[in-house]
Amino acid sequence: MSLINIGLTGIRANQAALDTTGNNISNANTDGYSRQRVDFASNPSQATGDGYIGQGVNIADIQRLNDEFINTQLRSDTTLHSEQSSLLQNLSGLDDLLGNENTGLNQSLTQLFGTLQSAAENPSSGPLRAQVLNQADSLVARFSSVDSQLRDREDTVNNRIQSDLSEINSLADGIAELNLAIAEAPGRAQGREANDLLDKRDEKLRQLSELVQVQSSENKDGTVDVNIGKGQGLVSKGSSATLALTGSTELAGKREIVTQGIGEDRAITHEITGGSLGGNLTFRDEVLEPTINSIGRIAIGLSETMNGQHEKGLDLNGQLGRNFFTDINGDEVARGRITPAQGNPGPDDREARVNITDSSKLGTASYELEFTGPDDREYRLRDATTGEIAKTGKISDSLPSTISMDGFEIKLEGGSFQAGDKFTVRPTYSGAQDLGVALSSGDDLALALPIRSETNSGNQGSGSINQGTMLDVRDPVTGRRLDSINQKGELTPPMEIRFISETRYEVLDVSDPANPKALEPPINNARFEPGRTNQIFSGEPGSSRITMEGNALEEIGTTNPGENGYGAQEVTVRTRDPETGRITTQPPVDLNANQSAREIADKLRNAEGVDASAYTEIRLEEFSGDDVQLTLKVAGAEATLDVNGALDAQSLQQAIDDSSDFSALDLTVVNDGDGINLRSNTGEDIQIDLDGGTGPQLDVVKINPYDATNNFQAELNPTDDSITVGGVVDPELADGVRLTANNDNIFQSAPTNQDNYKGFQFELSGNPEAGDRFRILSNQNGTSDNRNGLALGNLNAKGVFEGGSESFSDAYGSVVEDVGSRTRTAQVDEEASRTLKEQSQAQWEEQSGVNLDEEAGKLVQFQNAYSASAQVVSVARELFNTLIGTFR
Amino acid sequence: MRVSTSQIFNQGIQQFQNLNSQQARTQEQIATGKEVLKPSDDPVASTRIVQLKDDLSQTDKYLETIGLTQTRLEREDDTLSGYTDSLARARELMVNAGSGSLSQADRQSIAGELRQVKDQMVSLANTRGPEGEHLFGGFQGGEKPFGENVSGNIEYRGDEGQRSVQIDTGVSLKVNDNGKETFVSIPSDRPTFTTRAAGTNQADPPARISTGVVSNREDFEQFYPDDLVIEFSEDAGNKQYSVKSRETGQVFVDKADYSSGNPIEVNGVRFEVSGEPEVGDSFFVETGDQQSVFGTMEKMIQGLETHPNTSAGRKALKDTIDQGLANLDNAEKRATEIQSGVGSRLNTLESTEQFLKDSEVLSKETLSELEDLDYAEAISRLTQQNFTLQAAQQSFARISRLSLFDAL
Repeated sequence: MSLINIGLTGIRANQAALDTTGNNISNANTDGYSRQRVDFASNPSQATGDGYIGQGVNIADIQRLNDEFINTQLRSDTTLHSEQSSLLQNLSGLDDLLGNENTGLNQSLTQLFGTLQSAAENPSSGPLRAQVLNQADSLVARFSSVDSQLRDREDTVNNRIQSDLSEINSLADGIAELNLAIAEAPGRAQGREANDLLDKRDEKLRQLSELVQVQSSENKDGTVDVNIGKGQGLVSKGSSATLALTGSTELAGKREIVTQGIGEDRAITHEITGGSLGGNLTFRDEVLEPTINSIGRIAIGLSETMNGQHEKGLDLNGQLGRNFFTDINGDEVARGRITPAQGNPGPDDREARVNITDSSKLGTASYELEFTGPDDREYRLRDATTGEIAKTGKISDSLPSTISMDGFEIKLEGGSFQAGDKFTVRPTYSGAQDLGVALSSGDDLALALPIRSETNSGNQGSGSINQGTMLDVRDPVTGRRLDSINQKGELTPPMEIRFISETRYEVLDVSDPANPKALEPPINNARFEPGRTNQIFSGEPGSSRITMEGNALEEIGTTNPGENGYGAQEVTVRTRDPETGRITTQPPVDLNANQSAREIADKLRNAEGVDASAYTEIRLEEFSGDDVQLTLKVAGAEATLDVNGALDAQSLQQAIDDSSDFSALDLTVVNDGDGINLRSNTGEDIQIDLDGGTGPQLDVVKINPYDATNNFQAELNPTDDSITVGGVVDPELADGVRLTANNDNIFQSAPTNQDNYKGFQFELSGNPEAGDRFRILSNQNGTSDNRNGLALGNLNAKGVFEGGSESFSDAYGSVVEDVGSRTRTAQVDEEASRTLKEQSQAQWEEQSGVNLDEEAGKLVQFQNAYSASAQVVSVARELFNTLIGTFR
Repeated sequence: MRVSTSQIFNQGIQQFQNLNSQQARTQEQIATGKEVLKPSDDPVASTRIVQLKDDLSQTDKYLETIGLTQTRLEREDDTLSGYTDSLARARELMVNAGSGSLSQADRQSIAGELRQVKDQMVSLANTRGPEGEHLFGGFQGGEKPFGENVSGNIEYRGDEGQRSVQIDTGVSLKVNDNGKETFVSIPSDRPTFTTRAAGTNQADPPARISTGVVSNREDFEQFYPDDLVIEFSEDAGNKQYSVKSRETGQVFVDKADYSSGNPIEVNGVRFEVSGEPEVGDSFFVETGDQQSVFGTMEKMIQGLETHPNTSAGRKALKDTIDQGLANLDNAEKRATEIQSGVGSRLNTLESTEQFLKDSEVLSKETLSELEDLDYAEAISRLTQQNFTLQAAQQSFARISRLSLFDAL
């Protein structure tokens, strides 16, 4: 009997092997199918006296040929490749969009400045002016088109992320279900695996690895736990988490990936790596957003720089330049740069804005502002891409409160800011969208400058003045408009430079040409270096002047020779550092009683940040008397003059010239018919003595430098009378320097700092002579002036970003280069990772793939074995028949 | 090594994909003639290409500016040549006027001709540039820079504006000379004067003051550099005038009766006030050492027309003619200086143009090296790619046909 049984076991076993081979052949093209093999085992032999007789064959196992190590390798290579290929897919065409002459910004930028240069060549041409505005419009259109293309890509990538997430969710569900099925499959205890379920689960894991980086670990019951990215759990035995994307296309702010279903939603964007999801996120957060920000920054820098230059000019209507592009800190624009997170606690009342303060310092990062607690004032600002902390601090107890960063500031205007609040701060993200042309007509283009100069035709010297340079129309520190030029582009007031001597000049307000008066603050004794280029007016923003309006101003002098009657004073100079706000106090300056203005100026000049020049000016009037000896004493020099009846300037000048002591002193004598003006341009005390003669009388007037209608006068009349008159010092203080005094003797104890910075400068060179005049005027009707036009046209070559090292074109070029080299890198990486993936795929195929030729061979092999086994049964039957026949 | 059947097919297909995409890229390069198609092909080269293109378009702009500036300066050059011709003609006429004894009628006719020459000069000084702006108006090129004031004398209404254009990076060139420098602030041989009505005068039509002449040089130079003020008052319905020193207030003529057009002679200066001045109206005689070319012409014309034929008059006329000739020389000297400045600027333009064109050629060569395709290389590459593809296709077709099942 056993032979039949043996034959039958052979038939059955080979039948199963044939089935398995057939199954292999059928599944040759099934994804994830591992080829299977039947493991034959001989049945236990029967012990007989003759020895052991074999009992045929049985099937020990039907095994799938699969190696977990190769699976893991394949998944990790798949993840890498799929990340790179999704990055590449997103990048593709972006470099061309930005770099192409027809779609990029570069050509439009160059053309705008080209038209500005053309307009500067011919500033009165209407068509050329209109062309500038047209080109500006088309540049704005180009910015907005590039920006909207980039935003379309952002939508696309967000959609891709969304579809990645839903695939991940469905795969996670599938894996969890398969986990349960595998754990419950019969035969596990006997070590028989449910091959098809395992194949299916492996295939799902492989598919998952295309989407995101996967780590799996097998449990004892045959289930696997799956983590993704940096270790975020996705599947645990039979349960799985759900991933979702927050926000929507309509809502501003960044869209985060969150896990749902397990407690509170938790943002895990930063934890995702690998796979197409990782590639999409890398593209969105590390390429696209910085690119949008960079383009936005160019738009903001362009607006700020153009507007800053344009407002210094004068348009064809004689008005100061208005904004060329729309204001970068307009209310709506500034408030759009900060968006609250959806989950902020109510009420929804926070008001905040982000102002651009200096585009040369502005970066391209976006930030997350978070109120961290424990109280409601503490905040933390993090870089949105890298997660690095950019700043932590505490806002002030009362609003508004300002958080200052490089190039921008966050201004919290009102509302109940509290611990747990989160905001997205994107200073440059909407820059390109917000760009717009503010000018409406070519006439508004400010190609001229509001100032010009005129040389008086009667000048005797060779002094020549340039037409002036505009530095600012706003105080660079406070942003307040300087009052030297009004909105209508008129100089307030028109001014005249008058030379007192070859080395001294004053600048007067000539609003009423017939009655020139002192400026506020006065420039009454400025030094001039003949033969060199001298800058007229201060070029230092924030510099100020104080006037000497203490008791000494009205002190006409004393009759004690050599005593001008000025009291003693202690002066303190303090300097405030503009960066740190720290105030340093310099050692006090002691001004003694009866010091001359020159000595006061010399002492003050020793203090840092203080410049001072002194002068003394008196006027001699109403002289009468006979045979009177008039003596003039200045700083030890002495000139004596016999006067009879009338005093004339020429004799006085002659007496001064005759005394060699005076040659080193800078003295000016002017006769205007009614009297003689005598001026020490260095600020020495002037002493006048009258001696002898009969009926001497002389009015000595001390000229009030601040109000010529209110001079101070003394009368000398007795014989042997004397008077010593002191001078004036108006110190010039550098930015942040303040001067105070312990009494009101010379300066007032807290003198007013008057703005000294006019926002423009003139260059005066050559050798002017005393009496020479130069006028500084409004440039109304200056239709052929192109000075501001040239400056505007040159802005393209000027360094604006990164502290002034990158021009607009440079900045754009580096955006294009950055995207280009990222694309290039992605191409190379994609190829490399593809090769790796192909290798591990080949390994997998080598192990688990079906080869049809092999299966054909096996088919024949098992068929033969099957036939042979059938033959064994047939032999057994014949043996039986033979045996029956024997007994018959 | 085991090879699975699906692997054979997948690999084959993958290879065809690769070969196809390589071929497509080569084909695109050949079709466009460009080596670098997108920034990612060669990020560094493509940045350089953009920079070079920017440079080239900037160079084009500069060349365009140079062309326009050349036209403008040539116009100025022509105008100045016309002006020096006029000066020569005026000089010729004055030399004639000074030679021998001329009758009053001869003088009148010379004066008439001088007037024409002056008009011609004014129209030259008001020349418009190729862009329609007045060449000599400074910043105020929109208005005629020279015109008659209320008294009929030519005055300058422009300013001292100096316009520049940029003709190369960091190189700018001034493109105009203002009328004040060219025609007005010309040194006078000896002290001279100009006359003007005060801006605050009330009379309508305004009363006029003639340009005036020096009638006695010694007296005048003694008085120089003081200025004169002529003030009008009224006494019993009769207009009266006084003449004072502006500096000292010294009175030279006190309330003399006024008659329109009668010559007034003070301190060696003779001029006429005409019209009906109101009380409070004033006029100025301002001395100086500069005289505009138009003032010189006006003084010569007035001198020829008004100096009486007496010995003093003839002496004054000789002085007028001598001064006129000397001042015409000064004006010509100034014109020549300015014209040679224009010439040297034209030279600068030409050499800059040459330089820009040379550098343009260099930039274009560099651009071509970076950007343009090497056709020989590209076509041989394409041939090779074709060959590889063909071989791959044929071998694939053969291998894929083999199957053991066919033998069963």
